[in-house]
Amino acid sequence: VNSIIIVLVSILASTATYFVAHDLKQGPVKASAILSFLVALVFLLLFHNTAMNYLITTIPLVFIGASFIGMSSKAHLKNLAYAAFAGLLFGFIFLYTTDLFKGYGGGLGTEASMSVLATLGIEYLIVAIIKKLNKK
Amino acid sequence: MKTKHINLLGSCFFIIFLALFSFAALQQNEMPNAIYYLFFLIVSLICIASFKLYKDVTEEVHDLKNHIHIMLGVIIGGVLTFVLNVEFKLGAAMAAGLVGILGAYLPQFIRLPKAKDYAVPVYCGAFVGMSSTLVLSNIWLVLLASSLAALLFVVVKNVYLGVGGRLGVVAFMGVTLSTAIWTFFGGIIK
Repeated sequence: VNSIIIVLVSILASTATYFVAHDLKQGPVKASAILSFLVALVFLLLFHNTAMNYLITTIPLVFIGASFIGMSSKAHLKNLAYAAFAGLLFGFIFLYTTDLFKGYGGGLGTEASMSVLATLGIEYLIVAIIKKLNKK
Repeated sequence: MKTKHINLLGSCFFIIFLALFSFAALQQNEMPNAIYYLFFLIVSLICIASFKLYKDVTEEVHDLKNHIHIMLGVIIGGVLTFVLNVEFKLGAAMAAGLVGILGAYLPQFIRLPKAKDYAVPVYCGAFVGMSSTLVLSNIWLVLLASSLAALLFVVVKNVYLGVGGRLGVVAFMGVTLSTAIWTFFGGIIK
């Protein structure tokens, strides 16, 4: 259940940041910073009494990591669907790499850029295949 | 050095660190087989995308004089986030968010020259400061990491614009390089 929640959170974070950055025209840095600050604040205020468990400590981190995906420019991730797909990938990557670079600043950003580049790679592949099919 | 060479250097750094990260992730033992192959797929897709993206880099001129305020922004962001995270115990995500908001609004508020240029480097520095005390144990190490990140930020300035997480990779380079330097010289001194 934990992993499903983490993947859902990362999809939500990437799409929300993309929406605020491009559709509400706030710019990427403000969108990512404000959203992740709010989420971290809500979690701190709601759960500061309860015992720390895995989800409470991890969800703010997943959120800020996935919000880096939403910071991508419109030239690369063309619409919300791309952002959602990259968020899905980020969730998987996050689940399987966290132990290794735990506590290294920028590890989350590296995971985010892995997922964005993988999404772009899929897009380029599909475009290339379609071009070849059209030539025949 | 010409701008072209700096761009090439920057993208080489970028790809090397991405590859380091991905292959280090593959070393984990408890990973199921399907995920293992999925990671290989992801890495190959990353290669395709990064080669395609390298073709459309911008050829903006590098001039160190124009970048000093940017580098200062990275360093200030890193140290400030580390202090907020460790001394005030805000938690990494919240400290970085707070510093990002400050970097975006404060320079415009107090009317610094080139106020809009600060948001991105300060947020990049904030990622350096998100490191835990197990990795960067004291403030001097944070200072070293964020200075390295500041240098690399200028080198990588023109490549892979608009790819989400680019700033995070720069911060990651700074942190890993500084821990490597630290352990190297620590070993010599001992």
